Amino acid sequence: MLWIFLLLIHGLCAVALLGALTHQSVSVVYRSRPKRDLIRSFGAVRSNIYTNTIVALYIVTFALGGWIYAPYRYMSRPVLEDLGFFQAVALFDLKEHVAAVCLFLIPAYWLLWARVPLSQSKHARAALTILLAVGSWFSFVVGHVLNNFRGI
Amino acid sequence: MSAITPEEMPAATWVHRALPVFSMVGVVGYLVSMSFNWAPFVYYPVVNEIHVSEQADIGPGMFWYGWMAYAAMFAFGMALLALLLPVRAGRALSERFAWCLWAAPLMVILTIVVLMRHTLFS
Repeated sequence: MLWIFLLLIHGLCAVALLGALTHQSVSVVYRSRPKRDLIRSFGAVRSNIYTNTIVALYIVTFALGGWIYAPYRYMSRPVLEDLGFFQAVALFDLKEHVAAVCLFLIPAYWLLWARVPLSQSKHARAALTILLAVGSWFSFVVGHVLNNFRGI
Repeated sequence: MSAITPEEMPAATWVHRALPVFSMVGVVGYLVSMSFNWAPFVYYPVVNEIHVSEQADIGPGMFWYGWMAYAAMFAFGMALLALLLPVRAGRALSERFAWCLWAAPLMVILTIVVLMRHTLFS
């Protein structure tokens, strides 16, 4: 029961993280455009206000994921392997690698958004934000797909 | 949080030198420790024990935490070394190689996909 509760909290934190990261990513792509349509209005925000929230949410989501990874390893993964879902298991392994790589990017991400003037390092900031967003979306989708296998 | 202007920015504080190095070395260090299976410890979730070497008969071992620990230690050490750089040199390096902050993790993820190709695309 504890693991299901933690999985739910992990999922809810991931949804909040995705919302903030997607909003920030769209804002770096459509920065300072007029609010003519839905997408541009979605992106016409002060993108730097999301930074600390994204950092906190990423760390909390990652910590919860790292915690529930242990029971997955001995309870769910053997079942998936017995059922022959080797690609699903490999995808989950890739998700863990992507999540770990993105965790190491968090300090540079925070630096670029919070300590470097927004007029400088624009390309690096935008690319890093989009990379984090894509990595988080990939992790979320893979986790959700595996959950649909009744793996966790 | 309000955006800071170039005039308000402090002259290359320690975070400007240490954090980019920590991120880049951490990402590459994770790839290296994962590829060579270098981990200072292995966690065995069935018995909830940590061992410094692989054990038999106590369930599957998890190296992932150990890979991250080694990468973090290596990154922390290199970030400390980066603090020894002169302020101006550190600032110039971080500006010149800002593109590495996104290119390095992208290359690392692509390398991991290549390393896992047999299980991912079988």
